[in-house]
Amino acid sequence: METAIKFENVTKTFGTIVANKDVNFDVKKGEILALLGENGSGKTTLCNMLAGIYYPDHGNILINGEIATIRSPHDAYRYHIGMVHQHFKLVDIFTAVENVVLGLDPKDYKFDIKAASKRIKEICDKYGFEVDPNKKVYNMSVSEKQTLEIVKVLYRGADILILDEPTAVLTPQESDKLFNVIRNMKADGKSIIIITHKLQEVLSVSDRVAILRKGAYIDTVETASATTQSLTDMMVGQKVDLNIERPKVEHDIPLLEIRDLSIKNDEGALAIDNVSFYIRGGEILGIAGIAGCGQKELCEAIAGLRNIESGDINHLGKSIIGMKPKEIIDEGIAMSFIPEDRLGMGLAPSLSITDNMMLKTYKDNAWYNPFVDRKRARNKANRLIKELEIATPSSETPVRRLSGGNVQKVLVGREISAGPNVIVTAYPVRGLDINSSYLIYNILNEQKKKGVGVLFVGEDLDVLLGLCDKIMVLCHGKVMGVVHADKTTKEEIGLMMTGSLDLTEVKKDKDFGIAKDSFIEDKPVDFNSEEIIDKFKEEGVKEDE
Amino acid sequence: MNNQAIVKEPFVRIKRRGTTSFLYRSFVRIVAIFFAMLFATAFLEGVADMSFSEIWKYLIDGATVNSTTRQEYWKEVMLLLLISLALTPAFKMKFWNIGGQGQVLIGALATSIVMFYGKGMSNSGMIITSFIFSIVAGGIWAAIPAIFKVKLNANETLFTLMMNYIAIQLVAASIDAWKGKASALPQFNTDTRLGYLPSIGDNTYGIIMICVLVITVILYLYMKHTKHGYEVSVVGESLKTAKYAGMNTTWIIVRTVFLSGALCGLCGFFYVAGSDYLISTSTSGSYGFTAIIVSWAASFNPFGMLILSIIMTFMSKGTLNVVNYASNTLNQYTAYITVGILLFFLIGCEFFIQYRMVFNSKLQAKFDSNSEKIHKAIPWWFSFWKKVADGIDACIAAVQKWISVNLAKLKTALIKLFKKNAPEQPKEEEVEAVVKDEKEVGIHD
Repeated sequence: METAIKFENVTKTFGTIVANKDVNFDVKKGEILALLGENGSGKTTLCNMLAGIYYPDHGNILINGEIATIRSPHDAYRYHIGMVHQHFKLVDIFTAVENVVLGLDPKDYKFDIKAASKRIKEICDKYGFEVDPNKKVYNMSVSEKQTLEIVKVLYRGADILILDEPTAVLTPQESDKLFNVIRNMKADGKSIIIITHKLQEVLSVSDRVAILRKGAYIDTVETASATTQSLTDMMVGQKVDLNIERPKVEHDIPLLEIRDLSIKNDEGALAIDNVSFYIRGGEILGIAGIAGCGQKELCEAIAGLRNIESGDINHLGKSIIGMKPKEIIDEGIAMSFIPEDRLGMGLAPSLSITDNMMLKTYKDNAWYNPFVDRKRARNKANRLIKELEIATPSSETPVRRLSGGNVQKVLVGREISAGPNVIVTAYPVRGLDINSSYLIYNILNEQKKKGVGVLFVGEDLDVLLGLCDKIMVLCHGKVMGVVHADKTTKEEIGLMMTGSLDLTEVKKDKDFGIAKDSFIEDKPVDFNSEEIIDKFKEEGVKEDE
Repeated sequence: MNNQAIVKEPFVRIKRRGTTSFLYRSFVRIVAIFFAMLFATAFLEGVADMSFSEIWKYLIDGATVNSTTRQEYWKEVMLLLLISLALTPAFKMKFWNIGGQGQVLIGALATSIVMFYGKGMSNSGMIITSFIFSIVAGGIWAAIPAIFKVKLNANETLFTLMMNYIAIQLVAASIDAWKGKASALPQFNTDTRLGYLPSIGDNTYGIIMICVLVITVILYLYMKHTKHGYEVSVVGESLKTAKYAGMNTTWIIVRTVFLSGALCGLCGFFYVAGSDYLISTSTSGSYGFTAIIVSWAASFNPFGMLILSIIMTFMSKGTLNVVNYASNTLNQYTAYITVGILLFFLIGCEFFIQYRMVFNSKLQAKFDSNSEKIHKAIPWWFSFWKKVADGIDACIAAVQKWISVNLAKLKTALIKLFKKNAPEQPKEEEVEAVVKDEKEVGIHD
């Protein structure tokens, strides 16, 4: 096979950070090459250089055997290179076809929407896409938007396609569909580079795998001869145990009970629609769902950051509705939400680790003392840096300067060090490398063993299935059912995520999301009654420390 | 698009620098000020038709020729510094208060009202009353946009800006009402000197200087080490995070902006009761706006603002003096131009602090060979600068060490003084902790 792209000693640095160092490998015509590496290993930077977004510091990129100088995405198209970015670059109020012709050089293309629609249809038929050229982008689902991005690139005549983490936002079924399209394109002689860190996908779709680690190129292997374990070992650089532990813990009383909860999102639409569930002490409840189906609103409501429409959130029989965030923290509910930019909620990016440590405790010294107690926060920071192996020059480094994994360690570490009895954690391993991810799983398992109830909002189904005791699936703010992680399959959850399978409908006779020994009764709970106190004693509820 | 055009390597690219050292940043800024001075002098040489040495003589005279100019100079420095300080807490909270001008005027108006109507008061009573009036008035003037911001999410930049114009009109109306048939408003209480700030020795503005310098130190501590300062920086970083930590963000924003306005109001008080004894719509000149840049260019560091105020006031005072002696007819706007040049260079130099330029490989090779030639031709030049840089480093390290050692000693002495059974020597850990602390203070910029 002919070589389509060849990287020769490509190096790129940002300040003192080396993103790519002497990368040497090639992509052949008509093959699917998976670019594998942990977050921060330089996969995206490398491809951005190919797509004309960055310019390499040293080294050459050869296309069809000639040295190519790619200074802008426009140049990239001249070399027939197209990239589908992780975050879609589409104009929301335009239709599909308008987005496709946007930015084309009028010298090369006549501006003719009808002809363009026709060509889009042709491309779709050829590779097996489904795109309605006249649909507005804001009416599209995530997978439709992605398809449109691919069509856009193909329309411009790309022979080399780069897909940056294409499956991160898709359900398992949608991913399979995408892979079929990719195989069709390969059959047509196009070269495809897929950036990913999901090993299963690499094994199922690619021909060869190129592995990067910390910006350096490690090796290219034939997919046929690779296994999950061998790829992980190369990616991490050492032997890794891939099994997520799920310790058996005696389940405790329901700590957090949510009943008939409805929450509106910022646009005023219902984000969470009549949801009931509960978390027991000593269990991890996973929440699965496509991005943006109410997870964020749910977490914010529990932390007291968002007003609810109706329903009840009950912590040990006490309603926390209307409580201030600080009071909820004092109740022992900790929340750590890792948003997409990984910094937004819970941390102040420009402040040091020390300063971030005292975010919730800075007022704890005497009220008349106007000064903050930095010394104690610094000790705490240093302790966490040691315990969680946070890589940082010092405790005074701004959190913004840390790498993603270390930022998350700071956040999760602080939440846990407060000694909560309920932990709400959303995407705690978002963008983390494998070792750090497992460290976080271990931290959560430790907490579970202590009898803490953990609500784990996740995106990777493999992780949810491995770590959680039960998984609740959300689809457009509605509960599709709660399943035991050891008795379900990925496919079943996938179907529930898209709303094709609704267990609450299938088992209508059962009261969904209501614990047998619920604290919420029809009559208000008298917390001082003998009965309740005895119940507490029997169940062995641990007092907050 | 089908022909694979060969595109040339870009001539120059811009790359972000990582963290820069305090020494490097200072060096770039000093070079920028040097070039700004040079450029401004060249400009003045052109418009004023004077020689280089004459210009510098008059520039320096503008701030130092006699005791009156010196006092005037330092008063201006202090008032500019005070407004810059006042704006800082709000800016740190990412509340873009550009209404310093209006808040100063309102503070000045409040003082004027007390001085105009309170003729029966005692001198100290009047000073205290007008002091309180001015800070409350300034604070409220700033708090109004803040309340609208937190309640209705009104844009604070536009709001504070518009409040300036209301303040100017209020002052104009008051002046009209007070002056009656006179052509201009006379100074207040000229005969009784009621409500005038006392002078220290023969320095009329001594009290202003002391107050502002004390405020500088207090504000530094307030921003860096108090709970309030901590809350301000968290709110500025992320409102969501602040709410999540259980902070009462509404109260924090209103409180901080009130403080910002109150300090501006205090400045108005100093203008009327300490310097002009008079109010006009241009009482504070355009310092309300200049201070915004001072605060930013010093990256919100109070001591940086002190240095910047000194340089900027020197430039404007000096240029005004040059204008007086110039053979051509020039007016005070020349001073705006020279200050503008200074600001242009100061803000422009941030580019070299944030980024470095990378030339394409051919050009770089040329540069390298040339610099080698230069290096060979005058090697002392290179080694000399290296020695200077090393020397500065060594000095700083020595000072830091000296401070930390002596601070540790002082601490032991204090412990001895207050506790009878205190240990003779601090434990090693303690000394280390102190050393660490001191280093941080040194590194903070």
